[in-house]
Amino acid sequence: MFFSLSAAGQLNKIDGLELIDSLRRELPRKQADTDKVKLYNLLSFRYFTYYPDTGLYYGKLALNLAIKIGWKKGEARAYNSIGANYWAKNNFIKADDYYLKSLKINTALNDKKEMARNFHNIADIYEIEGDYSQALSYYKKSIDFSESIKDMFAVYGTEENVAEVYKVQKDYKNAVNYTLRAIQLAKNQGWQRCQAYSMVNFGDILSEQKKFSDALLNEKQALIIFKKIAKINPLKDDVANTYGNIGAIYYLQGDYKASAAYFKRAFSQYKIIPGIWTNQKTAECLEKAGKCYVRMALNGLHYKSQKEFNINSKEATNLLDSALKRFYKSKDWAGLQDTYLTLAQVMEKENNYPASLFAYKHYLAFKDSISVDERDKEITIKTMQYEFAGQKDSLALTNKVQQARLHSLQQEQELNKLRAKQQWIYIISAAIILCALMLIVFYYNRAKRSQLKNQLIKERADYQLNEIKHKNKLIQATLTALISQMNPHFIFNALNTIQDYIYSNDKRSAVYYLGQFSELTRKILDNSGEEMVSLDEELKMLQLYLEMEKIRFGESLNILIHIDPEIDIELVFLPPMLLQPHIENAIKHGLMHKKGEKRLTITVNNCKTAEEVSIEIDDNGIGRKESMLINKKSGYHRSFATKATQTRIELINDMFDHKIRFDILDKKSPNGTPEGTNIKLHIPLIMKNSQVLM
Amino acid sequence: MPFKAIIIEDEPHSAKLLEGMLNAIDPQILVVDKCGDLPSGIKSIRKHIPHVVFLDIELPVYSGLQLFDFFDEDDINFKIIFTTAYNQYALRAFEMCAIDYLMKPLQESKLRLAVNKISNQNDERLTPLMNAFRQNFSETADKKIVLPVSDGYEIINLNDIIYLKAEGSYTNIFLKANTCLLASKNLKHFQFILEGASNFFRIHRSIIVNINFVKKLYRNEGAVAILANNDEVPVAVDRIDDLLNVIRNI
Repeated sequence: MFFSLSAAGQLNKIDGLELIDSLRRELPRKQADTDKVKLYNLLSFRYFTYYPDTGLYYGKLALNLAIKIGWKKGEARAYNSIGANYWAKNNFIKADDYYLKSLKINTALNDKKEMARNFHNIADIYEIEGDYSQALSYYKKSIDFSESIKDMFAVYGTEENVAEVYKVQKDYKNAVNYTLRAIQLAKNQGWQRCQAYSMVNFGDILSEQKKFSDALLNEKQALIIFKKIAKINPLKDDVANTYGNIGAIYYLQGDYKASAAYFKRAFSQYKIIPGIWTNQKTAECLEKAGKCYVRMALNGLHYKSQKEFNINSKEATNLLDSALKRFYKSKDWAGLQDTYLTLAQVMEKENNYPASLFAYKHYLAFKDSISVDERDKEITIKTMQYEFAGQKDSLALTNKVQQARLHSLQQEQELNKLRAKQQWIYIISAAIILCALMLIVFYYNRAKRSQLKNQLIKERADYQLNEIKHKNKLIQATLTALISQMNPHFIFNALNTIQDYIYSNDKRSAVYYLGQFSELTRKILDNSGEEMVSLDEELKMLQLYLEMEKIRFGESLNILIHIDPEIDIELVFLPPMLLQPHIENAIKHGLMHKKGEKRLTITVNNCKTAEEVSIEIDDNGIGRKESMLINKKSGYHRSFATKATQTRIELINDMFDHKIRFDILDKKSPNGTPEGTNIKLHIPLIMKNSQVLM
Repeated sequence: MPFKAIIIEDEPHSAKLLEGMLNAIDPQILVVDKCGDLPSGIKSIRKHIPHVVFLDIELPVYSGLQLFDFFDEDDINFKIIFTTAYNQYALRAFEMCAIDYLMKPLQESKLRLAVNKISNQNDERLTPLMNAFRQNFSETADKKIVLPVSDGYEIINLNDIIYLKAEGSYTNIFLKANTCLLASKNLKHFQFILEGASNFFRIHRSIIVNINFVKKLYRNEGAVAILANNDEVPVAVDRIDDLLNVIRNI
């Protein structure tokens, strides 16, 4: 039969590899030894259809552990799964050996379920070895045991196998009997897929008996069930397989048209299923459909209908060509061989002898196992036909024919070269794929290992980044403070004043003022690089600044600086440029708009209770409220430097236990009129230790 | 005939310097008064009726820009030259209305140029500039920009501008009325004066749009904006997000 379907085999494969993955994930978590044995056994058993060597590895792990902990049941299962893996490796003697070991223990334990499994497995080996009577007797024993413990799934699977053995022996009566039993069982249990499989198998048996219409009936009923299942899981190949089966039956029946139609349906079903092997299946379908058209074309020839022949042979050629492409893709040499042979036949019938010869040589190229005699004979026949056709047409053609022969020979040579080349390509690509796989595994492991490390590094980096970000913000705030101090307005006004001294030929004042201005600029630039400066330094800079402002405003500006004599201002430290913005505000917003005497007082006092010094900046200006009103009216924005200073103080405070505080007091006279602003900064004495900062 | 001038300046040194420089440039200029703040300056203007007033922006209590609050449109029969040390806001306002100003410390050459200009200019030409200028300071009126053109000045409502496009060192200004003006200033100049207007956004190296006129944004080998007059203008890829933010915030 073209499509062989084995219920048990197919069911085993269901999602097998996925299951393995989930089992392996389970492994490290299972602590109890019996659980471990169970898992090893499961893994071993799941692997046998895919990688029997891995299956053996896990089986032996299970066996060792089971023996170590003296767990007989586990040991028996381990023997069984090892046996299954040996079976998969075609080492039947060893497989039988292990099955028997397992059976011995299971018999001692009276574990009927496992015994049934053992019997089934042993029967499998007998079947392969061709000892059908033994196989049948073991299968039947297995069925008896499974039935006694109501393990109906095992019963079903084994019945299918029994039917298969009978079928191979052409004992159709018993084969049908067991298949019907299997169908009935599946139906009773509600296993729709199993039922359909068994019906397909039943159809196969019937078609072997040439009971085609009955066979078709069963296959089509199975198809209905499969289609229902496919609605839920469209990626299963059941429907496609069954289409193929039906096509094959129609072919045997001689209904080539129906057969071709079903093969085409099978083709379009396989096409939507992903995977490499479906590519091969699609090619097979095309080839079979092509064969059908060949038959139809021959029928046309038989009834002397040239037209029918032409249509069908054209369709056949098309299908076979497509099949060839797909076979090449799936590297199915047997399929290629068959297809080229069919093509050669079509071409022969079309009287296209050179093309026929060409296809035939390809066929030979892929038919490696063909005997030399057979090959020579075939070539002789083909060549004779070829020459005969040539003589029949005209003598002048002989030259052409010889040329064609020469051409074919050259092609054969090229083909041989190509084949050699192909082999090389396979070896090289296999090597490359292997290398790539190794690399992937290597990098995957390395990536996994470094992931944890990376996480640690990342956390550390994040922490450092935050620190740096904070420092950056601080630097930015310092810079803003610096810029607000070196306020462009202030600079240009100062330069403007110097310009006036020069213009009015007051050389001494110009030189003195320029000197003071340079001194102030230098101090600001120097201090801006420091994290902390002494109060002494800061006050010296402020005096320079105030002197410049005083020149601008003239005698109306009075400045008083009072320092508590108990304080050693050289030992009090504070961040640079902390006071200047407040003083600038006092002048720019408070005193500038004030008429009459403008007074600015700076007082440094000791606060004995709180371990800090207080610096008061007091003006008799118009007050903040009034100043803001003026700014609003003036038509343009005059900036306060207070915001930048406040941000900066907050950032510095983030890094200290002892905080800088500042209070702003809007002074008022007893009758409520504003009398200026008082700003009080509290600087912790602890700040003298500049090491604390950053 | 002497040319009467009043200096309104709160810093005695600056006032003294300006007076000295003016005397050196043209002995005909007579500084009739120097005032330390705006109210006294206004009194002095009414008293002396000068030809020109040198007006500092930063003054105590009242700023120089508030001069217009004290005079009606027709009252201003004197020229004004603004002076400032550093005030980006004021500069922008001047540039918007093509009004001349002087930066401190003063440069003699520039001072000379300004003096010559006002002594040769007739009064009528300056009036629309000043009107636009004072309107820009009132909260209710539409903001305006003044563009010098060959035969005078073009005064444009900011809200009528759809977009501005760089044309070498010139700028094409596309207006709502489907007209287009070529200004002899580069796009950078307009970017500076439009900085305070939140509905203008530079979407491309060569284009500033009034986002109120952006109809559609789409991607087609780079981003493109379709404007109210159906013109399509390119949007720089790195500006798209900012543009969307600006539009959202309007």
